[in-house]
Amino acid sequence: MALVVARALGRRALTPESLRLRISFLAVLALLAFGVLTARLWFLQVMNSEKFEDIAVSNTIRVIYEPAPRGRIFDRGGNVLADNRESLVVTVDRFTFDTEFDQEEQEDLVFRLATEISRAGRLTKVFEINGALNDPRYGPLDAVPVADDVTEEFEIVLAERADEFPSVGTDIRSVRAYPYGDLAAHILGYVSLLSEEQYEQLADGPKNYRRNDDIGQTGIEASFEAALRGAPGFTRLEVDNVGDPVAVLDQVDPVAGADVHLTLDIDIQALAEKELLAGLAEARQQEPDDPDDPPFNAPGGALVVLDPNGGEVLAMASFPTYSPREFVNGFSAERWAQLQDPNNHQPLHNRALAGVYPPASTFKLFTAYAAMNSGAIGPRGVLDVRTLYEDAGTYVVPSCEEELVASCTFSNAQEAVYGPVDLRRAISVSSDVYFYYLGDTMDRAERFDREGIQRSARLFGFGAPSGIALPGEGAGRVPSPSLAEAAGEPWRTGDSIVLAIGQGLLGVTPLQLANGYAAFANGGTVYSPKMVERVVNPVTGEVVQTFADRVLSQVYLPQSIRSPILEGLLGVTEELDGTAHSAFLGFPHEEWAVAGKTGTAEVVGQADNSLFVAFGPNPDPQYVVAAILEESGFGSSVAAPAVRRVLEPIATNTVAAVRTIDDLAELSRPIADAGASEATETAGGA
Amino acid sequence: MAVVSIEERRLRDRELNPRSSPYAPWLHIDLLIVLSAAGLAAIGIAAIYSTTRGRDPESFDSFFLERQTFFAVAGALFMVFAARFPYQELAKFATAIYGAGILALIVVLGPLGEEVNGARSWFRFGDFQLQPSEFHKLAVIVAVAAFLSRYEEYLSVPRVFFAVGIVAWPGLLVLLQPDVGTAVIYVFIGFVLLLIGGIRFRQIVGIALIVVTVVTLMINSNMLEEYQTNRLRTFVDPTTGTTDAAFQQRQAQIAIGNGGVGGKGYGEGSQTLSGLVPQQHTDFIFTVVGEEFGFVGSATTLGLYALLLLRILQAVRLAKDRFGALICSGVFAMILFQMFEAVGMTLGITPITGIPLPLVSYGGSSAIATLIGLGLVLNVRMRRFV
Repeated sequence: MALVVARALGRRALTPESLRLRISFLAVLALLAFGVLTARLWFLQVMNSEKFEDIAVSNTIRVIYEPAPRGRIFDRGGNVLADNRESLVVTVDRFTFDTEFDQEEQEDLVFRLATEISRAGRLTKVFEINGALNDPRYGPLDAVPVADDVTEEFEIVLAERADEFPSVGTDIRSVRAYPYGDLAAHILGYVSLLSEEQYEQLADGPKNYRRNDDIGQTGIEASFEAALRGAPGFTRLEVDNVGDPVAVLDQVDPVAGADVHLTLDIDIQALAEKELLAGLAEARQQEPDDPDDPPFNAPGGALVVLDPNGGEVLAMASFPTYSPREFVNGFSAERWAQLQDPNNHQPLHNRALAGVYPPASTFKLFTAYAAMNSGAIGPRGVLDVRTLYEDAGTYVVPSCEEELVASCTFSNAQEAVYGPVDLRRAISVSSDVYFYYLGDTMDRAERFDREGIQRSARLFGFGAPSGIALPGEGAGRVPSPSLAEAAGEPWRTGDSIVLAIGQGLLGVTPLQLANGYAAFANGGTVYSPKMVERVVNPVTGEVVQTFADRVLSQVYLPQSIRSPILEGLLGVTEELDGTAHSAFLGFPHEEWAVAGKTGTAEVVGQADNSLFVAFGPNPDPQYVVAAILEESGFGSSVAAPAVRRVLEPIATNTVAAVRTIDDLAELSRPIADAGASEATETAGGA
Repeated sequence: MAVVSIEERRLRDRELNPRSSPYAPWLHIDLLIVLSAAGLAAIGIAAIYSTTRGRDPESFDSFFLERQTFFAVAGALFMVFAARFPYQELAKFATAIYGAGILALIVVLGPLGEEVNGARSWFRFGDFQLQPSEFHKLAVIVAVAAFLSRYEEYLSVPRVFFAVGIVAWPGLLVLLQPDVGTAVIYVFIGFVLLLIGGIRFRQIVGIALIVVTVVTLMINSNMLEEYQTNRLRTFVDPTTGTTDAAFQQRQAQIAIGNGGVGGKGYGEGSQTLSGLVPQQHTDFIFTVVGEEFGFVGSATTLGLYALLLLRILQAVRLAKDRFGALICSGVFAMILFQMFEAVGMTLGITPITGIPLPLVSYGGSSAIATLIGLGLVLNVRMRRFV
């Protein structure tokens, strides 16, 4: 019936073909839907699943770190040189601060906070707080420390007025403490926040460095960072969707950093630093003979004390110095610039091992050795050991051709005339002419070793870093014909002549100088100077690492060579005309014979550097001391007395025991003050 | 030897071969539909238990497990019931069922209805909630099928409008709850029914233009409350919506991506264990499948849906009459759309709506309604010879 009506109305029926087509359309639609879903599933689960797995892990896992105490640094006597203490810091919760306050509220809060902290005794400026708050090393959710070492009273003030200081809190941070103040600053080094580059390098390492961690930046703190740093502990928690912990996945306890025991003797170190400072002060008191001569500025210097038997460093002073405490809580860019400024003579620069100086006459030991070893002094040489050579005050190069020699006439310092000198006396009185002759002879006479002096210098450790376990060591320079040739410079006989007296391009570090003399003192063994005795586990007391003596080279030093030179060096302090005789007047030579050598290094446009190296007691030396005082004048008048003042307490066993800062504070507390506090206690008790 | 005529042999074969017996519809039941539905329900129950049992193996919470199992069993009974009577009878009750459903959708908007997650879509009976819109989808399918099956020829414009009207009224009521997702399902069901019912292409274009105009006007007029407008906007573009929706979608994708190829293993998904995906046991149930059973499990689940939908489409083709074909195509549309939307939103390719994944998501109304729909499909298919 319907069909009939439809036909009457001229309408076509829905054909089976059309229906099948429509069903097929639905099938295609479904196919499309499944295709899209499967493709997306493939994308998420097969192609990108690693990425999502990472996110899923970070979604549900929280890691809470527990810092490990840093290892301490001890001297050879077991005194703590670098310790840890707790510092109460004021923090600002960055997230709250950034999200809940507008600019005006932020400025107001920072201003009031700076005022309040300053009032409580820690001078803090607004820009310092802002600087900390903008420090990119802190994350957006971190509590940023803005002031350190506040008092517990201030913490109470903050807690009581919490509504006035929203987002402000306190935290306890373990920081470095230095019981001996600034002593040995260059050796200990300092710690500070690790830099972005350091973080990138170390973040995945075994010690779990985090962005706000301290790291040793120089000195032992840097070279023994791996031992000193503990491995922080952590707890990995599984958390639910609101961040509440539901399970502890694993827990690793912090492992304390290892203690480092130095070879340093803090008492001798204190003595060395004191006498270096005193020597520089004395140098500044001198007036130049000629008003046109450069003044004695004495801006800096270094003094090294070694044990020649094994090369242990007992003291190593460098001036100017700095306070490692300054780095504990960080400091302003202004202060950093001050520390770096050459006009302030670079206090962070450890002159003892990084300063390169001409050794001047202190080098004559090595020239003498070279001459004897090569045969220039000896039965078949140009002179025998005891042959007297006439020192007329000047040395004129025979058959001199100016362009080959640079100069034909070389004079003694101060135009001195020493008359007939043999090797020993040449050393004792420091005859330059005698050594000019040796330098000239060795350079030109083909039967001797032309580079004998250089060979001798290198053998004794010059021209290469000594390998001490401290960063930033200088190599020094030993100029030679082959080096000059390589640089395209001519090598002239004159260069050899000035090299013989330790001038010219020759450069050594105070540590190298001390170490070279140590090798002579111990009979010819050149050790790599040892700074660290052992590394100890602070919990078990177990020795983790020990350091054997490291021999750099063995010098052929028979008595026939050593004795004449040693006699000359002993004469320096003992003989009437020895250059350091007056400096060592009254020194107990019988019990503690000191061999030494002065040096006065000419530096263009400046006052002379003053040098002195000594070792004793002879014949079995236990100590070597080398001192270099910049722009301070004669070695005999400044460096030698300073070294004597270091050696005399050692020789007489009267080195003063140095006190810690706490001890000093205890001592300096006025008695009245102690009485007052007792009175208060009594009053409180009543 | 007796010579048997062809006629006789045909008669005897018919008696011997039950497949051609008109009196044994149950022998023509489509086991693949039953099995794929059972498989999906089983995956659903397992996934629901994984996300709702809690973390403590000593005291796993089996509340949702038990309830969903109950719903599945009840749904199976309803499915059998829906397949028992000759489906042609339904046409007589179509108007009554449709009217009752409309009444329920009106009442649910009033004080008797219960609001959950901002939509007033539920009746509460003790411990159970009933979502009338889930069932009314079937009523709409039956009503439109009954109306359209009266005509053999292509549809005239007034008839198209009448059919659209049947779908539109409940659609608008659902929109007022507001439940945009379900309203869109109505649209798709209506489209598929009209397609099988004989709509012309130009009519489809015309309707599409009208729908777009009406929706645009509605969003831009003051007719809707602001939160309703926002819901519509969020539906179209989740990034304009609340951060909650963005969070949900991100966590869902992380869960699925975290599954990888082989899955994290049953009960081992960290996103699932931590409860990072909101609504995970209902609308976002696919994230459990994705995280714990991986690509293999997800693809298997999609495969079961594909099998199910293929069989339903076959039922459309095999149906004895247009009424049966239309009912089956309606159920096909309902399951296909819900599946695509509920899986798609966990994968970040469709907007977030409150649409359950048929047979897998937790929820009695959805499970039972879907199984009744499948019962009707079985009904149509097994009575194709009657």
